[in-house]
Amino acid sequence: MRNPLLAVGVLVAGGGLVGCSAPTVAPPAASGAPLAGSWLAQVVEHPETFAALTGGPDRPGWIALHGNDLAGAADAFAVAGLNAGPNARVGRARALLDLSQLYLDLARSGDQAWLTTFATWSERSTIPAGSALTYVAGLAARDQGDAEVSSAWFKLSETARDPAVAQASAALVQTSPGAPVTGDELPALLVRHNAHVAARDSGVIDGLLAEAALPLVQEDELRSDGTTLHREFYDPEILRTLSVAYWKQAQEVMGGGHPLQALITLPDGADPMAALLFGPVLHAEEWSSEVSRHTETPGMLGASSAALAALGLDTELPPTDEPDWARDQVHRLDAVLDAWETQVRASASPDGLALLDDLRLVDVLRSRLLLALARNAIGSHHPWQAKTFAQLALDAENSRAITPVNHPALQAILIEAQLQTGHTREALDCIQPMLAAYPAATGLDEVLGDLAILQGLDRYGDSKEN
Amino acid sequence: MVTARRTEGSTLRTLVRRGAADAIRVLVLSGVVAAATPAVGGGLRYAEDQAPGIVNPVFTTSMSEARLNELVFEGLYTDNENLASVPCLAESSELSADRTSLVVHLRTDVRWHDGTPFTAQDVVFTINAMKDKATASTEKGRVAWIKRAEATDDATVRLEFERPEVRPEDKLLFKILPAHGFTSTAVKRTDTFRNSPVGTGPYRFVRYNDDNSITLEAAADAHRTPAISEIVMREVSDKNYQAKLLLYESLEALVRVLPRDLSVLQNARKVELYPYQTNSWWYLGFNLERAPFDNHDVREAVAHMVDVEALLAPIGTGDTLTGPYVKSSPYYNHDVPAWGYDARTAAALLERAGCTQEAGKWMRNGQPLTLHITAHQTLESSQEVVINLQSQLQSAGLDVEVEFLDEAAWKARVWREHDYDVVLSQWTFDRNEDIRDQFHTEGARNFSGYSNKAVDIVLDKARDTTDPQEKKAALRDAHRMIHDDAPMVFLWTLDSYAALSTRVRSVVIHPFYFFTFVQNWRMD
Repeated sequence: MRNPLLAVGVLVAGGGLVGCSAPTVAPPAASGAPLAGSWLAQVVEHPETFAALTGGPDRPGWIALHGNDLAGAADAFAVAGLNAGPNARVGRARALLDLSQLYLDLARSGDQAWLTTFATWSERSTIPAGSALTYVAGLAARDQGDAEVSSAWFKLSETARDPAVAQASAALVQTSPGAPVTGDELPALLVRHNAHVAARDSGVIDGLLAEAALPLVQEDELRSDGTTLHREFYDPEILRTLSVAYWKQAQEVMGGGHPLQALITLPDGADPMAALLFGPVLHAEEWSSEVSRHTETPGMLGASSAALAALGLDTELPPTDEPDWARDQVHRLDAVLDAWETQVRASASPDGLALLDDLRLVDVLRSRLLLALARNAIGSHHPWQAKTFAQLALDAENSRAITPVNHPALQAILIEAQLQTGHTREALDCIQPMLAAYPAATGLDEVLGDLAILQGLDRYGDSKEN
Repeated sequence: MVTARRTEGSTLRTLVRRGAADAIRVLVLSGVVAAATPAVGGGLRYAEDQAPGIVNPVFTTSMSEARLNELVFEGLYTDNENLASVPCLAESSELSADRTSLVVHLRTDVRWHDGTPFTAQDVVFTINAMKDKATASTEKGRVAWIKRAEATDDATVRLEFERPEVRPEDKLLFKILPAHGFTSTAVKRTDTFRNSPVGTGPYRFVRYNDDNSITLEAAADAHRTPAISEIVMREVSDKNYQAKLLLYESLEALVRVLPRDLSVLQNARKVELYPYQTNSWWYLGFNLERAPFDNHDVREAVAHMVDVEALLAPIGTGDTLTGPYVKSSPYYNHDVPAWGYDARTAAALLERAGCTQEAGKWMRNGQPLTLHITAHQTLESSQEVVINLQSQLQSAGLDVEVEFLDEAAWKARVWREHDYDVVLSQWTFDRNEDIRDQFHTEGARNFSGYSNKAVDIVLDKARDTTDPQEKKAALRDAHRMIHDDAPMVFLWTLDSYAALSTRVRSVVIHPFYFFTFVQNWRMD
């Protein structure tokens, strides 16, 4: 029997598909035993069960999820609408939770980027008089819950050239965080702000998503040399709004309860593998213990999974942020994966091996585990280790593309880690591959560009050949 | 026809060296060298496509030279791992209240590698040497902002600026030379210093070896103790062999991996890949002082004859570009369209430039329209690109001749004599991505003769402004104008990965200078 998903690898990876290379010799201590019974082992040892899950009408959703096309997966699983089967609901919820987590990763970078940029700008240069920049800075501070800084920026906006900016600033100072601004004939800025409040409440984001890559404010400024400078400032609220809204959507898909809890109990008739396939959690039991630690938001889901411990990896970080520690962890993981792969290649059926190679399943699992470790490190304020994990997770041959191995959140974690280690220009390299699929990151790209420029103002730019 | 051509570098000595290197290469690939010469105890061997043409920071034009400088020399300030400027040869500094001068207090525990104490005279000498017109330093821009340098005592330097500075230490990263190594501030490329360079950096120059390699040894002193005892720069001119040498443990580091080798190296358990950011882009650059390339229509026609995607595909993954920035740059103008492969438009442009077509060949003034492409021998995959480019342009009706130059010939022919039609090369920028040197009329690296007053104005504006959005807007304008002038066919940027043996630990790579943090590296 040939599995209906066998062609998926070719489909998603195009001509660049590379089968797994022959494993190198693993250290004697490494054993593939922790992977026994995992989703990976089940797929290879029982390809028919994989076919049963992914070969039906939900197939486009699974193809998209495998390719890390998160929005595509969420849409594809939703095609059946209210009549979707339990597996499609699980798949859609997983895609939505992944999106929520991705935007939360990006929002954390946004928090740092916006305020660092505006603070550096005011320290190193002169904030353009009358610009709406101060309003956007106030909005950024408010979105991360810093009322004092937010009020200070909004205060500066009272002298904005555009009266609507001054009006919006004054209104937001008077309004509690998370509440809409009330009143008639609100200026467009406040209508937009209220749209964020509504989206975070309802999960409905269509209008915001359509404008996510567009500037929030555009203004023309007459310069002293007689030229006009066109300025654009992007919406600092969009990333967190999308994170919250996708969480709400996942909640709705799973029947209104807690979406993560619902993934443990599973809807009636759902295949347990639907909750695990292509993910960082190896076994259903680990999934439940994992979820119990993360009940409010997706946050660091997967980062401290029991799976990591079972694989011989340390879930407690050392006190210092040494990249070599992270490299050693990756070597340990590779040894386990190599040992398992050597073993399975001697015993698996041709169909199982074809799935293993065509879908690059070992690389997919490795990447998702390293993403979890990277999240753990960044959440523990160890950006060098986070950077190391994320960089080693990426498929170097296609590092500019989102692929089955290159989850978009790897780039999001790298953005944050680069920013925290002073490598702002490198953070821009990490955003670039995301912009086509995640245009809401455009504002982050622009503001980080401003920050990179500000940080280099006093430098002599060096260049060399080759 | 592709021909290899050497001029200045074609000495018997070089040929002998190359012969030896080739022989070693064969032996290594057959497993002999790996078995016979185990890794140097505690030493690190890294590969360059070609040995640096010169080891003197005031004449640095290539990345291989910049990397070696980073090992041997130091600046008053340097980058720390978070890319902030921190004192190196300086101990501290005081900026005047009006920001027009800086007093730099120097370390007093530093000696040159020959034992001579490092003093303020060395700093003053270096600045004056770089500013001296007789030196013709390619790095003169790095000190142009300093009006005057004065040693007030052996450990103190006072710098006066051309205009107020906010963080002058950010500009004091240039390497310091030993005054006692030279007879005057008119430094020459041929000075004896090139044979025995002396620095204060973490590694001391030991010798040039017969196989074109360079041996350095750790220079432990009061302010540092590098953990790796020896570093050897090995010239491996055929880049296709570099990855194999690393896998066979005949090297410990590759500074830049060929894209096609990434797959093998990322699956090798004894090798680690290190992505690092380099703002590098390939280009086909016209000599604008030479007919017919002084004609915009001819240049644009050539741009339309080049299928950039097809040239890129065989050598790896990367982004094609429309101007002098990489796509992730804040200065990249995404609204500028690529010229695009378009034979019909190319033909129309050539006809407008007075060319005619006879039997499928383009003629100009009764002679075949000939494009002489000069490529840098050290440019990775350049032969593959040139052969495919030659094929594309010949199919479009041009006569194409090709030559590859080594570093010395390249500097002489391209940089100094401007004796070329079209060059295939690559520029690499630090995180500032300052293209002023390449495209300003007065740019120190503008060997193409490009000059556009409007571009000069926006480049000057970008240099002077402290408003990030004004700078961004100005340089996006520059991107558009430079693209429209077509002084180059902008090709692509490739991913940059270094590869190191897993034996090398505590590795942090500087995104431009590579070895800045080498003193912290160690070997298991």
